[in-house]
Amino acid sequence: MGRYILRRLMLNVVVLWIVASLVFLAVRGLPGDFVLNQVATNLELGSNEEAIRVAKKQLGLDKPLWRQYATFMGELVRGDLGTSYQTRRSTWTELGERIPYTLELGGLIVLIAFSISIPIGIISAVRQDTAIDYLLRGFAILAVATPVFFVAVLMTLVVLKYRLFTIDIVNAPHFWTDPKSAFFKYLIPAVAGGIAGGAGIMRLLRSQMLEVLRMDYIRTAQAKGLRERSVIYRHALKNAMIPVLTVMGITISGIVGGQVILENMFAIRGVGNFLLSRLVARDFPPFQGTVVLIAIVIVTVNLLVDVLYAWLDPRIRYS
Amino acid sequence: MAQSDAVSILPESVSIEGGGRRKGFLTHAVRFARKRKLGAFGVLVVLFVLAIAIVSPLIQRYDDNRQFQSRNPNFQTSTSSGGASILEQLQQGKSEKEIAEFNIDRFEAPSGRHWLGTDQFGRDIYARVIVGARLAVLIGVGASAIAVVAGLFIGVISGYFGGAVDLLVQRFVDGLQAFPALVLLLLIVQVMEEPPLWLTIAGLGFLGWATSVRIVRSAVLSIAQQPYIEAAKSFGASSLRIMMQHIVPNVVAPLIIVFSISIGVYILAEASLSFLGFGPADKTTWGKMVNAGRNAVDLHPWEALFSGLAITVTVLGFNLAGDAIRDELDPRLRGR
Amino acid sequence: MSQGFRRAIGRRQLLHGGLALAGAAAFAAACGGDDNKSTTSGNATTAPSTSGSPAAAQATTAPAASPAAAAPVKGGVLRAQIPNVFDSTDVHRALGDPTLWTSNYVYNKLVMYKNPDTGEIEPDLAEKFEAVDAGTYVFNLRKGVKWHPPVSREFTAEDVKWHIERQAGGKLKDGSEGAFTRSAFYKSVTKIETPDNHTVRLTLNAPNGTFLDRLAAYFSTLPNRETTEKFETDHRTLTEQALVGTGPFILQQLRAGQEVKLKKNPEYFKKDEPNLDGWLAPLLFEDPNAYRAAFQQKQVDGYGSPDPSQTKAILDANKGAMYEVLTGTANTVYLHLNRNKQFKDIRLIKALNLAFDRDQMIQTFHQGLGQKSGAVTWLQEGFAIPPADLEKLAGYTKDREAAKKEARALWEAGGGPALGEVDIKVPDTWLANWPDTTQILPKMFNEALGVSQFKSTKSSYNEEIIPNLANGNFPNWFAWTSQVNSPDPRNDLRNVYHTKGSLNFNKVGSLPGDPNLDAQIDAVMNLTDLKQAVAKVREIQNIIMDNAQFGNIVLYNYIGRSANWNYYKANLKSQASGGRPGAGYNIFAGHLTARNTWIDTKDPSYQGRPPAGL
Repeated sequence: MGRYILRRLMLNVVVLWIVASLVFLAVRGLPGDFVLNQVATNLELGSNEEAIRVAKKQLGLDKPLWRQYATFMGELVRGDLGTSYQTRRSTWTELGERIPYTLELGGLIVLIAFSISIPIGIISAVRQDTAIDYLLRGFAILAVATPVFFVAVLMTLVVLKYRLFTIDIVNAPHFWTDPKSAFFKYLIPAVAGGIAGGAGIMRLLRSQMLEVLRMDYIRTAQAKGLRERSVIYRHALKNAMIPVLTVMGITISGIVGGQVILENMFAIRGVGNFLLSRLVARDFPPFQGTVVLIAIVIVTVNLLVDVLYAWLDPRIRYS
Repeated sequence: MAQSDAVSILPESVSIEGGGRRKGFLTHAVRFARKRKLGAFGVLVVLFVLAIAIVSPLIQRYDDNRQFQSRNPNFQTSTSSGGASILEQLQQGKSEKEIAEFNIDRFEAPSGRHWLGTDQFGRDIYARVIVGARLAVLIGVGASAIAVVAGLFIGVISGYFGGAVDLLVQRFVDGLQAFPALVLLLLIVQVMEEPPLWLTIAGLGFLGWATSVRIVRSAVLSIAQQPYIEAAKSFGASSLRIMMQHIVPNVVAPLIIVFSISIGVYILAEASLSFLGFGPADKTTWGKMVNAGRNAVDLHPWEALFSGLAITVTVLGFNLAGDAIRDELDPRLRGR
Repeated sequence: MSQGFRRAIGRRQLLHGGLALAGAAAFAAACGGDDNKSTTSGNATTAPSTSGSPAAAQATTAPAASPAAAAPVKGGVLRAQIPNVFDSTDVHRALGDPTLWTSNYVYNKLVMYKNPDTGEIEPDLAEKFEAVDAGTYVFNLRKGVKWHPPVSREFTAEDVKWHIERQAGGKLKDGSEGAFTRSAFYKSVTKIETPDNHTVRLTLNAPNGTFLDRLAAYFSTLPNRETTEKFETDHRTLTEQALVGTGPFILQQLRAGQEVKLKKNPEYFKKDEPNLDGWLAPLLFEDPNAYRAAFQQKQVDGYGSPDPSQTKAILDANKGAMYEVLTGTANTVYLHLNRNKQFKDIRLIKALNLAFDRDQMIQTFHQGLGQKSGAVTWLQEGFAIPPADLEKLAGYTKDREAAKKEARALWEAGGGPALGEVDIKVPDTWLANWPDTTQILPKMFNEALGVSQFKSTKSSYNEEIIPNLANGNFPNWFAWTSQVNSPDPRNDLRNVYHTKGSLNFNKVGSLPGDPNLDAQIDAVMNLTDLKQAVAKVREIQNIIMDNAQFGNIVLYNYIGRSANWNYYKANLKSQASGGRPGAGYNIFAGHLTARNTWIDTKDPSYQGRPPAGL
């Protein structure tokens, strides 16, 4: 096991190098230019060309591509995620302000997703082919097919139309600074995201539960006269959760990547919002740095999930 | 985990092909509809959407970009308005509707003339929803096909040859999967100032490609160890021949499953992209419509409502049909 | 001349839901105003005017109007957006406008516009100013003006001297070259004399009647020397400490990724100003819908969607609690025809000027919210041709049939049909907002001229059009050129129509048959009297208009619509009243915010506004 983890860690370094190189090349292949975007398009070109040249020099954009790449890699190795062209602040500082928002929204989404999906998935499986199963499955099938932004739009429509509560858009409350305001700010995106995430988990959990319930050892347990509740929770759920773990891993990775759409819609200053705005502004260093950081989290979560797998299911052996 | 499954599917899929075409198909269809009611419903929805997509020019009633205008009955020429300029008239408290000779019929509620109402530019929402169906199908099916075909090629090569090729491909796939998906998609479509449709489709296919490579590769790995492959090799069969004759047919079934269940995902992904304003340029897509319609959604809900519903129904149809096909081909792949 | 500092339409901004326009509209709403008029609108029960204008009485339409509660309550903390993509804290070197705009709340200028649309100038830091002649100006500075803390010393003539010399010299304190955006303008000052601490006498290298106008424009704010030099090398890092001025507001927060906070300067030299206690400018909304929702919930006090019909919808849904503001936007829409290429014959240009249906295009693209402009736009109301006179000129008349007939005759006579295909390019920046333009334009020209030779294709603004202007190789193109930044059009006219003008890409005055405007333009540049200048500009304009503007055809300027809650007494040229919309200043009027803006906490619409504290 230890050797397996070590090998995976080494592979992950390679993966991260690939990610970093890909994102470096990809952003430079995009049309548009940070300096030109910033500079007022001045028809009197004489004065501006000089200004553009100076600005590019200051940002190191006048250097050849390989020099820029070397600088970027060097910074990464030292744990430096770069400095924003626009704000002249380090990406770490920027992210330090934004990660809490993403974690708050993401935490809520995970909470809602899991608290919807796990009980519903179990009920639906245990009461297979009853009215309640059909109802819950119908809900899940519909929820998977509905775009998350459409749910959010519909909820916003209702809240605005009937003035149900105030969504704080201008301020950026945290749960620890202004819990009430934060609650209403996050309510719609969290529920919309939670439903979308939860529906997938629920469907998977239900089918896994059904399969496990048909397995011999469950039959044995039932034959031994164990109480149904105990069978479901101690035996079936534990085994059914194994594949579900993967999906949870993906859900969590998605949240780290930022709920780009939801954060943008509700003016939440999180990582997803940051990524999008940096990309649009062609502010490469913080964009690259954030993508690499997210990749680090994703590969780590994947590794953890695989290790958990092995731990939960003794049949799986990694070499 | 898919390796053993892939092999076991083989006889079943062969038997589908084996039955006499016409009679066999009908019998199968009836059996399928009886056994999988939800799936049959999904197939019906898909057929409905496909039909709309195919005949959209015949049924869309109006051009999707036509701006409807109506003449202002109270229009006054400049002499009768006392020579006041537009600005002066506006400042006198007249609305632009009273001043202009023609007014764009914006934000109309559903009516006989505009079945689903009009949008902020006075365009017919019904026509736009119908045109959007064609794009959604094109994008969903196109992207899924690209993902599966690319995945097949690269997965087979990677799995069959192994070694350095395999290592390279796998790390590249790992790298892609470590990207936040939407960000990767944004990077791809932004390569061109105004992404054409094919770029959006290719970008989506590129995203999904990584997943199907994984499935194909693991299937190939298990098949490659089967005795008959060894035998074929020892008889001197070329790599290409072995791949085409023995390996490819064996991974077709899982790929059909991947293909059919991911169409809905691509339609959703494109809608998200369009919603953020990075969809295919100059094309009427549902995602764009939801995005445009959510401005003032509490006052004019029609555009967002109908386009959002169109996405939901279509994705629902493709998902249900895909699930049923998966269950039919291999019950054990369920839930993946 | 570098003073023609043009507003940018960043393509990214446009791509992003017309944020630039939204920002500009809200901004205009925040910055327009006139204190001498009534401040009521709709059925608001409050605020008779500060000067007792009779309009106030007419405006109270609410049944519950209670005149007793009428003493205006000035003060409050405004919540409205400030375009906040700052590229520098050094106003001398800032390339983008946001820094310069913001500086108008924190800094002062030597002189300022009394009304930025007409060009009248009033004292600011100079309590008296005099044009000895068009080449010599004397300023008597106000005494007792203090820089904000921590500098807190008195403002003197030395500060003005440094302000001019630094920009003209183009060097930083350490001797290295700096990119000073307006150095060419300040280089025209050949001599700076400071006979005493409060007098400055400037001598120019050439007569320039627009000198005061340039000093009153939004980009001529005076920063503090010590502070600027302290942050000189670090001028791209945003910090409120780098902007120390003498103005009505003290910058309390200017940080990357955070709201901008302005606080009243209690020691401001203009007594009774500012009316506001402070200004909280939230981050720009990246999502137009979030902006709208914020406004509906009174989290921002003003709102303007790039789509005026959206703003109208909100206004209609909140009648009596909000008022409408109409503001001309600086985006002048042009048709540029290249006289170096296909359009050598002036008759062809005249034909297209007639064929272009300005009214219809205002309808098609701007829902009727626009106004035809002549060579001087109507935004510059002091100098523009009055609308009634404009309606008589070719291309501006209501009689379309006659115009088409004349256009066809001119097109024939000028050899138009022999030109073959005529491509009117439309830049990407424009198409992002109005994608159908490439179909609409050729249809209009072909129909009007009875031909089928017109077509229209997409072009890149930054890559195809801008780089080819100076070399004369530019395509014929239609779009806005963001132009208007001052009420005095003389510099722009000189740039475009003088043979030595920096923007005379169509070689006006040099081609055979052209009237040479140089002498007249030079003469008008010499005039220091506003009235004389207006009359002379009108003469020049007539010649330009007679020649269909030599291919630089100004078409129209459109109008931005914004909505304000009634409690928000905005800086407007004329206030809304009795269902009539208010008018914002067309040209930047941020320096008047201190005088004209406050929050009326007694207004009924104030109910439910979330508290704003600094």
